[in-house]
This record gives sequence, structure tokens and C-alpha cells, in this order.
Amino acid sequence: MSETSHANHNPRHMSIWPIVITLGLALVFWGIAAYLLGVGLPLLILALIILVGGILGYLKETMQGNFVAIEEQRGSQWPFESISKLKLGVWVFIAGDIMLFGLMVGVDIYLRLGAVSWPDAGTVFSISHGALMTYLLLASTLTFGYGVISVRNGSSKGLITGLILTLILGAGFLVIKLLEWSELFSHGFNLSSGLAASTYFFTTGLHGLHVLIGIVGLAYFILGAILGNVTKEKHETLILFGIYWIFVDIVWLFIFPIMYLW
Amino acid sequence: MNIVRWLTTTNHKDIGVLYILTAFLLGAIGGLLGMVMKAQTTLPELSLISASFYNQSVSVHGLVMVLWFVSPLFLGLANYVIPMMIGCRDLAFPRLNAMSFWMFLFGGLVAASAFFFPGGAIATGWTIYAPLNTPQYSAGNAFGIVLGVAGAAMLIIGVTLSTINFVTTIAHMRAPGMTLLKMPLFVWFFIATLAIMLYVFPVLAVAGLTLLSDWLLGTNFYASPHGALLWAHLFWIFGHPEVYVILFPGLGVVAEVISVFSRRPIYGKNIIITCIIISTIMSLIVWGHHMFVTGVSAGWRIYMSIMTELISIPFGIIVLCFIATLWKGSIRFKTPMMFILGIIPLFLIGGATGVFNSSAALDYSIRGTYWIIAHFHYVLVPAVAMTLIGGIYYWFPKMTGRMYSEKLGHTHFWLTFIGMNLTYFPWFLISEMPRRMVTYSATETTWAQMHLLSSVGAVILLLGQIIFAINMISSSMKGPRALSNPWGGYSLEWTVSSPPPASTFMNRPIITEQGRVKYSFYPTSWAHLENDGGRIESNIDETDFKEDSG
Repeated sequence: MSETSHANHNPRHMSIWPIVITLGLALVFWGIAAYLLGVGLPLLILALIILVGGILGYLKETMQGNFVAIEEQRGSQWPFESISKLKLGVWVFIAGDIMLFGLMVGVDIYLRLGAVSWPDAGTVFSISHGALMTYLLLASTLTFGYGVISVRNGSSKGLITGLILTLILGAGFLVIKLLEWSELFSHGFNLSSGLAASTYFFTTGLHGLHVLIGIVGLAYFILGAILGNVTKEKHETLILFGIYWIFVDIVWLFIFPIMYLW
Repeated sequence: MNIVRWLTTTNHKDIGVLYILTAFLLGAIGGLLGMVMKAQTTLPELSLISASFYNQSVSVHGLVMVLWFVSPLFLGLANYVIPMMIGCRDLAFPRLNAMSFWMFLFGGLVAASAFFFPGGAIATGWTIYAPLNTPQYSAGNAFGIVLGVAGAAMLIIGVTLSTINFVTTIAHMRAPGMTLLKMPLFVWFFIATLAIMLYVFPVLAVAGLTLLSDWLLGTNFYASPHGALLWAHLFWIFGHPEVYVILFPGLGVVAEVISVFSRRPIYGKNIIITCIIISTIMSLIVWGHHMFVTGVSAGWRIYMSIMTELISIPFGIIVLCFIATLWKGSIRFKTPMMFILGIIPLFLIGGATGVFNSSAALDYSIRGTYWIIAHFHYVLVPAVAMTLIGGIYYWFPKMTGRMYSEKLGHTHFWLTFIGMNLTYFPWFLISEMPRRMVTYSATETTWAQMHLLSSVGAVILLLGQIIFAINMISSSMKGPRALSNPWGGYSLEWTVSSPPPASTFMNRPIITEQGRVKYSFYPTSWAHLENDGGRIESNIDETDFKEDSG
């Protein structure tokens, strides 16, 4: 009884990481500003260390179960009885992210329709590169699904194989993206080369950032699978991560035709 | 009261208090910038501050008041009371909640820190219109724009996390028997806020990130031929619904207070809920009325005009329901009720002048003038700031366990009410004066008279807020002890002690079919509650809970 009433002030219900992550992010922005003044490089590096350290600390705290949120007994949940709390949270986040990418693609189309001239399809952005990246991402959903089916059947080996393959495919996507970018840069086509460049680099960059976050997540789950934290009985967070990963893949299916084929 | 606890806390009540303190801290900065502008325009041809600092004040005042004053204020109230109102002990994701708060605070600090960089804070007006916001036209203002937008980006992260948290909490953690329609109206209004925030903050994110990328990475979004119109669309797709984001929680406070202080169930609860849903949807599709002069097509202007006029209907109905609640009620004129009753006529003035603005033809002549500023101050100050301050008074006994001084509270209300009218009403009368002017010619005698009047009002307004601060600080330290339910409130937060114990409920409250509250069982000893600073005045066995739909 008394433990539950103190639950909110006991050490397992307090966390230093939210303020560390936030401070890191604020320092990144201050670092950028100082960098523009020509003095900020050490500050920027320190800020990035704090930010990454904060995120790792947050994930470690989660993985080790050192932070316990209050679990309530089941109450009135209509119409969400059949969906778990975490899953609902993830779907709300996905809804926000759909708005983000929807708007971004909307901005691209709006600027494209209003522009006087635009490079023809296949002239600047290589369709074969784009198609290859599409195949990689689509294949990564398949390998991810293989991992999930494996863990449901109790095979941790299959899970680890599936997740590592997914990570390789995702990383392959990013590598090709970076190669493509550096090739464009070497042809003198950079972020300042007009609207086609602005929309292309910004949209694919925003999507690439999501893929990068996904790869960090995959690494987290691979580590968890190796340590035996992801099991047949306990793999809900893996499924939730899957929602995010497949969402990021689907976003690419909108970006690819608009950026490469139109 | 140790510092580590406040830095590492994830308790919704602690974070609620932190939000509210942050709101008043940053709100004071915004208010002082307003006073600086008012001092500068009091008399014609003054030069107390430079034109550049005037521009920075205009911009930062607007951004801070909308994003860093009222948003944390309503999020603070929501953090504190919504988990209690729906009968759970914390939000669904307490750590993310802490992160939301710190994102707010540090975002505000990042944006405000630009004052100390060369070129000063953002000086583009709070709308940050393109192409003025691009490196080509604002090179001297680089730090202001970059840091301002970066701060806003942190705020967006915070708001998004909050949205996820509250939606999940309200959807998933309601007490047994707390059906959707039994939830207090404050929660309902807040759901509307959440829905809109989820929809529009990603829009601000796209606008802000593309602008940042223009500055830092060299892209070319807003200096391009369609850049100006693109920014206007993005900004107002966010900006207009944002008005409702900050308005709804205030109306939620009105619904709670007006019902409790007239001892009557709210009139037409289900009608109000319907109006909330309708206006939420409509709020998303009226942004074009900010863009009548941008060269959008005539059909678009007509559509936006009509939609804007229609959206005042659900709000009219909501206000009528509030007034009908008073009918035959036993009204008690405590400070929260004074604020809530005070805003109704003011909100009507603000709303009615809004109908004029929605006409594209009229908007051609009044846009960008003091008429517009008067209009939105008449909407935002009463319906957002004054209602939320009424909410602070209403929940003050619950939060601190002490009563505020009723005398100072009434003084605060009257000074705010008179000061606010005196400050903003004269601006309606100089509707031909363009806004954002650092000074004006002495030959404009009407402008000078009205600005002098308005400055007198601003001083009265400031005086009222000083009394408010004194009241809050002294009462929270040595006010008389508050009972657990000093107002005879109906919702669940009034069934626990003042201040509530850290995890609020000993046992899960259960709401019966008839709308009464039961607790599953009572603990045999209260002793350990005192360790949390909580006190229980009486062992209430069953408490009256608000009956639905009068």
C-alpha cells in the first residue's frame, strides 16, 4: 500500500535523462549559433556528446527496467479496449508523422506545380538508384517480418538473423542515398541549385533521418535479442517498432515516384 | 524541496507546477516587451527605443505570448488536473511528459537568448513572413531567426510528445465507469485542443525546418517565386487552428467554473460536446481568411469568408449554453467566477469584431491596422489568458493546499478588466493606423490621444498583474489552509486532499451509473499520507459527482 502511494517520488519513478536530452538539444542550437560566430565547434561537439549520451542513457534505463510507469487497473477504455497503451501511443505518433510527411510531399508538389521549369524525370536523379533503394526498403519489411514470425515461434536465432538482415538492408539504403548525394554534389548539383534541389535534398534528408532513427532502433532490438530481452512472451515493443519501420518504408513509396519518376 | 527532485521528477503534478511557473516567467518577459512598445507609442515622435528593438519586441511579444505563455499555462493546468479528473494516478508516459516540459523551457530559452547575439532577437513580426525571413532580406537578423525557429522546433517536439501522452492517457486510463460522456467538460475541450495540436504542429515543423534549412543548409524554399505564398499557407494552416488550440482549454475552465459557482450542472453538456467537435473540424479549414490580400483566387476568398462566418455559430451556441447555466443558479462571486463572468462580454466583442474581419471586402481596408490588433487582443486576452488565470485561482487551493486572498483576487480582476478594456478598446477607434509602427507624426492628434489612453490602461493592467503575483506568492506560503473541496466542485480532483498526495488516489475511484463516486475500499491508516504532505479532512464515503446534461 505505502509503496504504491510513494510510487511517484521513489527513485524508480524519477529520471535524469529527459532534462539531459533536452539540454543537449538546446546546446546543439546554441552551438550552431556560436559556430556561425566562428567560436562554437567545441561547444557543438560537447552538445552532440550530451545529446547522444542522453538518448543512450534513456534507452539503457528503458532496457534495464529502471524506470517504472504506474500501471492502472483496467478502467473505462471505450473504444480502445483491444489496443495496448503503448501501441495507442505509437499510432498517435504515426498520425503526427503522417501529417509531417504529407505536408512535406504537399509542399514539394505545390512548388513543382508553380515552378516555371523543372528537370525531366531521369535527367538528374537516377531512376535505377531510386528503384534499387525502393527494393532494399521493401525487402527490409520482409526480413523484419521474418524476425517477428521467428520470435513468435520462439526462435531467437531467427529473430537475430531477421533483424540483422533488416539492419543491413536499411543501412544499404542509406549508403546508396549518400553515394547518390555525393555524386550529385560532384556534378555541382547541391542544396543551393534551385527548387528541384531544395525539395529533393530536404525531403529525402528528412526521410533518411527517419531511416537512421530506425537503424538505431534496430541496433537496440538486436542488442536486446542477443541479451535475451526479446522473447516469445515479451516482444510487444518490437511489434511497435515494426509499425514505425514499415511506416517509414511506406513514406518512401510516396517519395520515390514524386522525386524520381515525375 | 530539493533541487534534484524538481530536475528529475516525472510526476504529473510536479510537472504541472513547473509548467505554470515557466508560463508566468516567460509571460512576464512577453508582457514587459508589450509595456516597452506601449511606452514607445504613448506620445507621438518618441524615441525611447530604436526601431530595430521595437521590431524585435513586436515579434518576440507575439511569439512568446502565443507559444510560451498560454501554451504552457494550459498544459500546466491540464497536467495537474486531467489525470485526477479522469481518475488515474499519472499520465501514460511520465518520462516523455518530463521531456515535453524541458523542451518547452529550453526552447523558450533558446529563442530568448537571441537578444544577446549580434543583430538581436527575431524582428520579422510574429508571422515571420517570407521572403523577409530569408537570408537575402534579413541577413542582419540571422541569429534572431535561426534561434527563434530552433526554439520553436524544440517546442514542437515537446507539444507532439504531450499530445501523444494525453491522447493515450485520456483514451486508455479513465477510471472504471468514467465513460466518455461522463468526463468533465474541461477534459472534452482539451481533447479538441489535442486533436488540433496533433494536426497542426507538424505543419509548423515543416515550415520551421524548411526555413532553418534555408538558413543553415543553403536551400531555397522561401526566396523562390512561390515561397511567400507557401510560407503564408503553411504558417496559417498552423496559425489559425492554433487560435483554437489555446482557446479551447480556456473555455474548458469556463465550463468547470461557471457550473461549480452557480451550483448548477452545465446546461446542454451534449450540445456543447457536439459544438466542440464541429468547431474542431471547421477550425482546420478556415486559415485562408488570413490571406485575403495575398493574391489567392476569388472563389477561395468567398469560400474562406463563408466558412469563417459559419465557425462563429458553434462558439455562439457554446457561450449561450454557458449563460443558460447561470439561469436560476445560486451564483457565488468568488474570484474565479469573476474572471469567468468578466470574459463573456469581452469575448463577445472580440468575436463580433471577428465577423467583420471575415468579410474579404472589409478585410482589404482593415488588414494590418490597429483594428486587427484590437480584435485579436480582445479574443486572446479574455478568452485565453483571463480564463486560464481564472483556472489558476480555481485550482490554487488544490495545488497549494492554501486559500488565496479573496480581496486581492477581486482587486486583480477589476484592475485587469478595466485595464484591459482601456488598453485595447482605443485601438478599435484608430482603425486607420497601420500596425507595427515604431512612432507616428504629432499631427495625428487622434492617434496620440488614443495611444495615451491605451498606455494608461496598460499601466493599470500591469498593476493588476503585480497584485496577482503578490497574492499568489504570499498566499501559497501563508494563506489559510484549504479544505479538500473548498468550492463544492463536482469533479474527481475535489475528492482528494489539498494538496493531493503524490499519487493522488489510494484506490481506484469507481463511477457508478448514476454518476456517483465510490472508492473500491478504504485504507485503515492515513499515517503515511502525511509523508507526502497530503492531508485528508474528512473520510468522504461517497461524493456527489456531476450529473450529466442538465
